[in-house]
Amino acid sequence: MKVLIIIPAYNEALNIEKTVRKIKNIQKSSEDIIDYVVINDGSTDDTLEICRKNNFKVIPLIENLGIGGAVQTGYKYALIHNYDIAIQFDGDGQHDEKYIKNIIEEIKTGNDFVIGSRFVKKLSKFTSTGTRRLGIKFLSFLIKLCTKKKIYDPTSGFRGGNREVIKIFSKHYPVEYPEPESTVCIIKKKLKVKEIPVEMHEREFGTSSIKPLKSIYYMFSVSIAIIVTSIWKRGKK
Amino acid sequence: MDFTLKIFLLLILLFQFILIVKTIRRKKLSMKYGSFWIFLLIIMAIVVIFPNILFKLSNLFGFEVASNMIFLIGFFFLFYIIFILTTSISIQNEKIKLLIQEISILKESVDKDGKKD
Repeated sequence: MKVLIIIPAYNEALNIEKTVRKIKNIQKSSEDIIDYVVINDGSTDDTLEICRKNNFKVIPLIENLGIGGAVQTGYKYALIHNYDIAIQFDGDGQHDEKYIKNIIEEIKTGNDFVIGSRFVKKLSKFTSTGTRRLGIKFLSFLIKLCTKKKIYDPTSGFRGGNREVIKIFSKHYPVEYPEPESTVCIIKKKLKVKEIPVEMHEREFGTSSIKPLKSIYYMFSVSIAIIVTSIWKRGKK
Repeated sequence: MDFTLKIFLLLILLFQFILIVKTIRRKKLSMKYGSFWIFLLIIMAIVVIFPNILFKLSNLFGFEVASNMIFLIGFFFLFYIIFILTTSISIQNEKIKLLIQEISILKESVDKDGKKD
């Protein structure tokens, strides 16, 4: 199986080298072909220079697109280069590379889309702050309401899919706060979704892309997106 | 309506018409939106020449004052135009995103091939 790890990076100069080294470490021990690609989303710091210096595989976007646009570029790359599996892995050091093989395993055993979840089983000390957890619980409830499927960690950016998912995401992927909406889209297409427990770490350097002041607006627009997506896809395969 | 006021308003409409046509010819306004504005100007010219149409209409729909009807129509009209604008911005954003992605992927593969040679 050909696996592509998509690493979106926006101003991750302090984290990117470590993240790619983690991926390179698991390349050797895996029975599958594991490639990676860094999508540099028009960073204003040295992210691109660091990738070039270390000869990392990188696609520098010619303009900043936002996380959704960057990740979608990765899926398009996976589609063009005929990868069987594509896995998103954040460039900020929050995700743990040892769970990549679990995701690959789950996809091989017949799941279409696998989400690395903080809440299925409590593995990590770092889950989230109280208010954010409340928000995640609400989104989880809303997705259950709209799709009848329980997703415990709909905002997780550590996820992967097979060829079918790659095709869908290449065509349609939301630009802003894409995780919950795209998950609903996959469920509505009647693909098999599974959550597996993973650990996540607190980001080592830099700040998260979701600012506290924007979070209310975030909740509102993501809720609308979930509802609209679930109505839209009803009946269609 | 006062005759001089009529002439004055018609002159303004004529001036706007010339402006729109010039903008279209300079290719700064597409025909799609240009014809829409010209259509609006024609309606306005008809109303200026025969203002009675307006009063009859507002009577028919039960407005107390004709200006209220104009405000209401104007409000809905502007609302509609702004809605159309936001949809066309969204469509353009989507197209720009597609261009950035495709060019970036293409550029990367071209650079890679260049290095091999």
